Amino acid sequence: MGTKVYLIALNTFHESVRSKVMYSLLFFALAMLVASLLFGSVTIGDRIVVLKDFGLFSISLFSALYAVISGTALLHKELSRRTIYNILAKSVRRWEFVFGKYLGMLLTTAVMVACMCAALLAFVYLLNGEFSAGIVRASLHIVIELMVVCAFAIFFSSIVVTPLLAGMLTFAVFLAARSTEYLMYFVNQDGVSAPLSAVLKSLYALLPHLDRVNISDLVVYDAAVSWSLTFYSFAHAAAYSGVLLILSTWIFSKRDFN
Amino acid sequence: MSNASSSALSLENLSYAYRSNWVLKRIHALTEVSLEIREGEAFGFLGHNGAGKTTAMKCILNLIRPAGGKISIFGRDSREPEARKVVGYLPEQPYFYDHLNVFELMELYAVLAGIRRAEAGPAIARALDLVKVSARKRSPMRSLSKGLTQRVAMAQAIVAQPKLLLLDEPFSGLDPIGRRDLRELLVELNRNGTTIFMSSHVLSDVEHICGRVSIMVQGKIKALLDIKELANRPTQHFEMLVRNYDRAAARLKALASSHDAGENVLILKFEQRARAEEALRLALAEGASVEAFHPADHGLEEIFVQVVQAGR
Repeated sequence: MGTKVYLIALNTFHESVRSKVMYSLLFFALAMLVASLLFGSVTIGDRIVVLKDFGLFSISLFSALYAVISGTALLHKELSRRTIYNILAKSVRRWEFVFGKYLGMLLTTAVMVACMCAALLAFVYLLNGEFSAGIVRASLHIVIELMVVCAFAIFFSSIVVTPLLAGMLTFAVFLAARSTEYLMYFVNQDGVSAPLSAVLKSLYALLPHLDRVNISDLVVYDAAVSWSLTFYSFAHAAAYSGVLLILSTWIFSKRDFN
Repeated sequence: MSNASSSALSLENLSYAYRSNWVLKRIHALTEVSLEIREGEAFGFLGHNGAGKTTAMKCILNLIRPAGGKISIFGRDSREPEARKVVGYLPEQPYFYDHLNVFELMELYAVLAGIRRAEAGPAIARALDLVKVSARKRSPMRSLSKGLTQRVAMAQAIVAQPKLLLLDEPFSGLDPIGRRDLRELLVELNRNGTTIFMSSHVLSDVEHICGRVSIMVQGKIKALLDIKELANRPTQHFEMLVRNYDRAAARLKALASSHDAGENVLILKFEQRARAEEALRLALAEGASVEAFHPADHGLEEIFVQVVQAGR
């Protein structure tokens, strides 16, 4: 059972690393890092802070973009090219397929984050001569964030027919989940109607709190980050992803592959 | 073909319906299809395009959920993944991951079919040998021709030595040599005990491989035939070609069900054996040159056409 999940995950990983999308986004992310060096040189203040800030933002943005693009496209490709037929015709359960796809996507995005993290570490080391463990820690939290983004990509792919719409929905949720604190800020403003307040509160309760998971701001300013925050972030992302994957499996199990 | 008689595949009142996109009209793709495929048998699942053959295969593989009925594979409910462990499937128009090479693809399917990774190598080598693509095992899938892709599709279906092979148009895309190779392979696999359930439009190959066939028309089984009985059936339809027929022309034409005169040649068609034999005797007696006299029905093909036309 585990072997099948592992194999599907590995196949998804191989398919992803042999695609051009990943390298295009990696190229843009590295270009952003190089650009941040230039920004740093013309910015008043700490050049390293600018580099770390820009670098971690690039890692988060491009890895999330990759998860959205490849996550929604991979599942759609399986269906449109009918490669899924041969997989499910074997004694593979549908949940094994969904979880295998998810883990493969997560592994790919984690490798992408690791590459960009290594590049940022190298830049910081070249400029400052220090190894910034905070960058590694922030990258780990970005991977934790991606657990949720990948799960949303799978979830929307299982309910929406077109990959574009699934991708847009996933990215919208990612942006909203990174801004959940603003929802409560608006709720507390004067003049907000009761129905709108109820909607915002519901969204706050429903959405994952990725703004709490992301610790890039803390790392940029060398603030202390407790390991309990990492643990709770992981638990939050794992629980949220778990629910999304169970829902995706349920929807997937009801689906006919005509 | 082995003589074992336990059920390999059983379809009981299988029905499947779907709704068309715009008017949501319910379309019945399969209506109460019942079939019993015996272990060790080679069975031809025939039908016109759109008859429901692929739909039935997808139901068997749990890719789509039937509206009604029951499917058992060696006595187990086909919805259980364990039931499909003994099934090898060759889809119509097989699509594969083009980022993999032949060996990687085979390894993926071998392990998913239940072979241990450590034991996959010899099983893959054997399957690729059987379909004669061993020399291309490191070739990327995207570089293969349609015929080679079809051979790889066959290899992945047999890699785990399944007890039941479901083949949806297995000869599609194969050249005459590929067709002959596959035909011989299927006969050999069946001889060694593999149950074969195949759909194909190449009826001559079906006749060669299968012991029984069913003919499906618009989602319903309209005929179930034994190929051996079909071969032993006395022929009624004959065709005769004569020259120098002037003296007997009128009487020959009267005996035939249809005739066609070419340059110094008369082609006569008969629908009754007795009339054909009488015409032959007459032609010889009147000194006509009988150039050819042969059965004119094409066995399975003719029956297929009749059944499909009657069922529509």
